Amino acid sequence: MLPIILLVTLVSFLLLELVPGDPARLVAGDLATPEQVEATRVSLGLDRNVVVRYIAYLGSVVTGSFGESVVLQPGRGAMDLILQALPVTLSLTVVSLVIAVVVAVPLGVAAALRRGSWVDQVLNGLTSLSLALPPFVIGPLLVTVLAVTYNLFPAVGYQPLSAGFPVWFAYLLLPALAIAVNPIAEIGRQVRGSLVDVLDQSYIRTANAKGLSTTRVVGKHAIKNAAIPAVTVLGLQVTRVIGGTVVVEIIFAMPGIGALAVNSVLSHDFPVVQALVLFSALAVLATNLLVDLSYGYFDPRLRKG
Amino acid sequence: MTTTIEPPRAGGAPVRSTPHRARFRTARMLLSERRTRVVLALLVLLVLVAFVGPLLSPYGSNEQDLLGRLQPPSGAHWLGTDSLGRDILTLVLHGTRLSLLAGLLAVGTAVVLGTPAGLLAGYRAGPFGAITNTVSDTLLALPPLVLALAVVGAYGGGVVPAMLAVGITLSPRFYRVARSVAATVSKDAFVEAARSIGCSTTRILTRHVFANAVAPIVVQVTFSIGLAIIAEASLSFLGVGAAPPSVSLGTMARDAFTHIREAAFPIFPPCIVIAVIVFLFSSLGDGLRDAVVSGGRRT
Amino acid sequence: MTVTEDQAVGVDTALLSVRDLSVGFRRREAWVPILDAVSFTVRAGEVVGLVGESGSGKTVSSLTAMGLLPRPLEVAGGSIDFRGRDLLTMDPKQVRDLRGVQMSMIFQDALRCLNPAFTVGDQIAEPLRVHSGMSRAQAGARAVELLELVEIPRAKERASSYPHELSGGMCQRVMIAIALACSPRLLIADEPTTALDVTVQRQVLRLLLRIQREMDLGVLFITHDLGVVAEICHRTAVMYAGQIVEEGPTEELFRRPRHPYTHGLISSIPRLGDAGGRFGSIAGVVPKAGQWPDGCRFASRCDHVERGRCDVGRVPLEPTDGTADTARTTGEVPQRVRCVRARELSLEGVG
Repeated sequence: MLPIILLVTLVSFLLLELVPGDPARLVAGDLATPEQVEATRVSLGLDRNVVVRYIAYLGSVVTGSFGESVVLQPGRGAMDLILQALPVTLSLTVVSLVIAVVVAVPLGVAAALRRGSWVDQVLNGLTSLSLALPPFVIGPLLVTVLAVTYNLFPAVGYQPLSAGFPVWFAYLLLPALAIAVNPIAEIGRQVRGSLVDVLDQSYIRTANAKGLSTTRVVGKHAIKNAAIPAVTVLGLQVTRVIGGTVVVEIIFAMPGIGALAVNSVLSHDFPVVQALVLFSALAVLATNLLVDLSYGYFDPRLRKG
Repeated sequence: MTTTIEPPRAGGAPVRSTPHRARFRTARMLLSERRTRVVLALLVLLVLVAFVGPLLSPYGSNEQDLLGRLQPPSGAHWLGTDSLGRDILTLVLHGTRLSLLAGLLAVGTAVVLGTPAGLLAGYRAGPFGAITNTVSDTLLALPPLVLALAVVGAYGGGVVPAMLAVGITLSPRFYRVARSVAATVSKDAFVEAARSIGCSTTRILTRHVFANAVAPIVVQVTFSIGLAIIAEASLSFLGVGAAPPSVSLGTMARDAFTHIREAAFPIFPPCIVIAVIVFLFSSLGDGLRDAVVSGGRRT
Repeated sequence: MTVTEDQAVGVDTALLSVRDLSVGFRRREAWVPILDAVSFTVRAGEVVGLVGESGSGKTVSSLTAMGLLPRPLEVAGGSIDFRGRDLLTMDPKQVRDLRGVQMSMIFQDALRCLNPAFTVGDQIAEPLRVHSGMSRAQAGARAVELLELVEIPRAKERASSYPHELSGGMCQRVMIAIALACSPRLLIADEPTTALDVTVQRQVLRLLLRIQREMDLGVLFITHDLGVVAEICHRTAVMYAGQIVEEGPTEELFRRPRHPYTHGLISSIPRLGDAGGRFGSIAGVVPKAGQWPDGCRFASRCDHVERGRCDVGRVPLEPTDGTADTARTTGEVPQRVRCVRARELSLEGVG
């Protein structure tokens, strides 16, 4: 884990090196005076050599500031900006994943129990189709139909939880749906697949021989064993969801991390861009760790000791 | 685009020992299902339309008609016009071509970066494998869109740097598939025998290993093209991908979305076309993967 | 209810009475039979062995009795009476209520038959909580008692173990504990000792026998191992190619087998002291389901076959000479055999 984290910091650090020409000039702008450019250069740390800069960068990671913004909110720690935008994206991500699981699991179970029937085939077709509908296709379609044509949901914006759960949810529903479509397909497919495998196992026959109801056999005995591949896929979807938030937050004008990413890129606020890359990678790694830890719960054979 | 838990292995297909005729055998196996052939034919048609279409269109991709902006479909403009009065059908054709080329660039990068490293790592255990595994895991932790955005932001806009960045984030898939195939094949008796008779020529073994890797790699290519195309469109939608005079389905969607309250129709052509392209590629991938798993034997 | 010979003979004490059971499946347009008018009985307090090679249909018979027949197999005819009620005409929910409560089943390869995600205590307690309505604590305590009943040491600790932490023999004991949880009347054991070491086999068999006596269980014991049959089964039914070919008290069956197949099976048991002599096996192969010949299905492998008699027409399963009458008076189940030449042949058994 540690080498990966180090490599990630290296990747985010090296982004600045990609800038053709003089980053300081780019950030300071065309109208800047030579003194202003020089001041920008110092604030970007470009007056020092690469190795020292990297060490300073690592230092800022360890202290938690992740560098300082130079354009959007000059002088403010990049992490501060991220934390400010975090609740929005967190709400969006959580709601998306919850919707995905709540829809995908029953669909997957239904398809597995009716294996080969038309229900199964329709679901299979729909999942194939939905994999071709990325958030930036679904988002505008949802807005057009549900917000503009029939004013059912707000088209833009975000309301915090403090404004009440229904309001918070109403603003999140459309964007979360736009993101959730792909994960629903992937998770549903995996649930179906691993459930089909599990239902063939001998211990399911034992459960039936005990006279247990189908609900119990599937809901207790089968699901726990089918969980691991499904949870793995859920973990893999986090990367996709993070990418989805970037587009969706722009479409729905939500002040989250995705919007911050786009804005910082467009305004050349490099430290913030770097901080965002690092932050999202760390979020993915943390999720993977959680998923790995959960395996022990689902399959006791994997527990150590 | 389906995230497979195990990379597709040529489990059903017998390990090939004569690399020379392997390519045709592999192709025949991959195309054994009728569904696959149909989808492939449609894709070929799509490619043709995308490359020939723009030449046949009476309109240029940047031919503006500000008086006739946001017109609904008509005899003159089969799909109507956008906010600058450009013919949407022409734009769709140009955009499709760009998407296909962009997808190709990204996936090409990914294959070139991931496959040789994976083959080597899988074939021989050792420090090389440990290092490449770490690099691969690192890349997997970076959300493709975020990294592409960052790269584009640093380097400057444009489809090419964006697609290179996307390609880099896609390379771990090919790395893993190649590594898995190489690891399986290297344990094969034939390889042991070849090695024991002094056939240490890495070339022969690489060809043998590679011949078996072709099929699963091709499957992964089809899935990845869909992802790359979506990535390109998303980036262009955000304004950091294609820039004028290039036309992208993503920029078209952005334009249409910005003016959604004036005219609802223009959002549909680019969205539908993207969905169709990606759907075709992922269906092709499904069909190829089924063929690999069943070894080309029809049930 | 039709009055059959069996009933008149006092098979009212029958726990499980399978009559003319036919099972098969549809493959394209053809019907492939697996079981052909199979009939056998298990009474309270007795262990009935069901013997045959793999593919003879023994497992299918038991699965049908439990209502666990997997798709695409279907019942084509016959009846399965459990304590007087025909399971095949009952509502599936009612059959399910009987499963695990009055009739239980244990299987081969116990480790695979236990859910790896739950502790063994949990799995034993489950039928108690679901069927007997016990609380978690009550069921847990009873589960520990059951573990002690099946002779698992340190039962209380073991209850929180997972199946993968136990040996094959212990897993089989856990399966038995699960099966006995709700004090069933009938236990169906499908090759429970086949996957175990010989020493462990003996222990588990002894355990089964002890429990059977203590709980007065009726047991249907399915196996291909005649040695096991000789040890614990009161009566035995021999299956071949989807049919019962001989049925009777185990001792009698061994001493004087009436069917050439039974004779062949018995002769193939290696015994200590056989100086390289009779270690025969029966030449030929079992005909596949759907490819059964007319007449006696064993004819192609039989040493005593007679053309014109053995290969024409269906061979019925009939009581052996004399036993029908004595059975009527003693209340025993008559010994039966499916062989045209049964009365003529004198086959050698073992003492």
